[in-house]
Amino acid sequence: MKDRNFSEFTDEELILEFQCNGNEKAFEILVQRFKNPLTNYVYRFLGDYDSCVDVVQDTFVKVYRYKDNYSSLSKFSTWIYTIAGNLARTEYQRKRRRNFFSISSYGEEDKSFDIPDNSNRPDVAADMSIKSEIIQKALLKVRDSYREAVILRDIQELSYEEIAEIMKIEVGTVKSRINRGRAELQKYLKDIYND
Amino acid sequence: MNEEEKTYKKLLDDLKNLPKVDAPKNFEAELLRKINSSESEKKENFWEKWLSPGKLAPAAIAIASAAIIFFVVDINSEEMEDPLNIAPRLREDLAIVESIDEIQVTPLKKSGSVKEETKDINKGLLQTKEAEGQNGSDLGLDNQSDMKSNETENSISDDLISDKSDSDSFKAEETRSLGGSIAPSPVTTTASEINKDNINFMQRNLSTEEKKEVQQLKMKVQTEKSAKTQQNSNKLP
Repeated sequence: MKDRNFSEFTDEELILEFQCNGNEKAFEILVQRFKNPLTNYVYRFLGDYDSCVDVVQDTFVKVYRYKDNYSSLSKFSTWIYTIAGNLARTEYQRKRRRNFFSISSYGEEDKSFDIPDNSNRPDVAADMSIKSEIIQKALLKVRDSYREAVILRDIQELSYEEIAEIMKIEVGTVKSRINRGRAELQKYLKDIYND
Repeated sequence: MNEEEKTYKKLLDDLKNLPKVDAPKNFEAELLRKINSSESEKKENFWEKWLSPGKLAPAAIAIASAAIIFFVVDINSEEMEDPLNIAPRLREDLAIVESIDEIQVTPLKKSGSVKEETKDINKGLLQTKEAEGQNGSDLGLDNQSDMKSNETENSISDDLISDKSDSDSFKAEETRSLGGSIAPSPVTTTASEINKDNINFMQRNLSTEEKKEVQQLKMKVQTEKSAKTQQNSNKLP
């Protein structure tokens, strides 16, 4: 009876239930609610599905282990997005360093090298168009801080306030970053939009 | 929709229409496995942290060194060996004597010479006493304290004059003899017996001319002293 009611709970109520009573059912519901949005967000930021899944899983592991660090003053979604964003940034930097030493040294400087592995790629599985693939590649060229803001606003459709809380910056800064990110993205995609 | 969004309308539409990427089907199972492994790692890490050889080795070394210091060095121990209570070491090179009769008694030369020296010192002291007595009687002083001070001064001057040796050199053998008397030993002399005669630190033998000079200087000093005392007495009202 109680378990059935959990699905009606808000995110904050669920995490409080998990915090206070250690009810793992509440945690499972939170996982079900946030696994796909977080996967989408992290994938758009990293551009690699395998590492994206790892990052999202690590995010939930952190939520599980450090559940007491959550304060009810903020929204649960902003807290979990902050954790995922931090882990994604760390993973992206690690990947970039690894690529710099392994692949980039052999080729051109500006080009990004994605090793094609279509077996696990969700975009291929979902019959993704070429356009979306180009957009994703262009997105990865945008500066990290701009990209994060653009993804959170234009793909995840979060409010400016939520983004400001997640990125721990002012709303004005969020807006300017989104604007610059969009401009950069459009510059990279000029061949598509000129047509 | 504001103007900025209008300019990027196409782009924003495309971004919104990007296919949503979902988590894999086995996401929860993998997550559960990760959580369990992290929990076990957490527990292992605690014990590994404290029982790892990297931490145990220095701790063991520290304990062992502390034990060594405590038991071996033990500076404040009350059971320290008293050097006076330690039995003397047996020397194997010495012959074992069963009875006292077997011990050969040999006269010690040094002890004999020491006795002779003490005899000489005593003789010297007697002579000095006699000389002091004679000087005192010759002067005819009634006051004992004045007599003593005069005795000492006279004895010094007499001794200086009567000394036969003219050399100024220091001689180890002459340290005990001065003007026919022998320097007193601190063991045999008393406080009353000590006088200037016996306190010739320099152990210097003066020539007759030097002795005369010394006496003249002394006379001068005495006359100056007496003149000063007279002047002081005249100045006072």
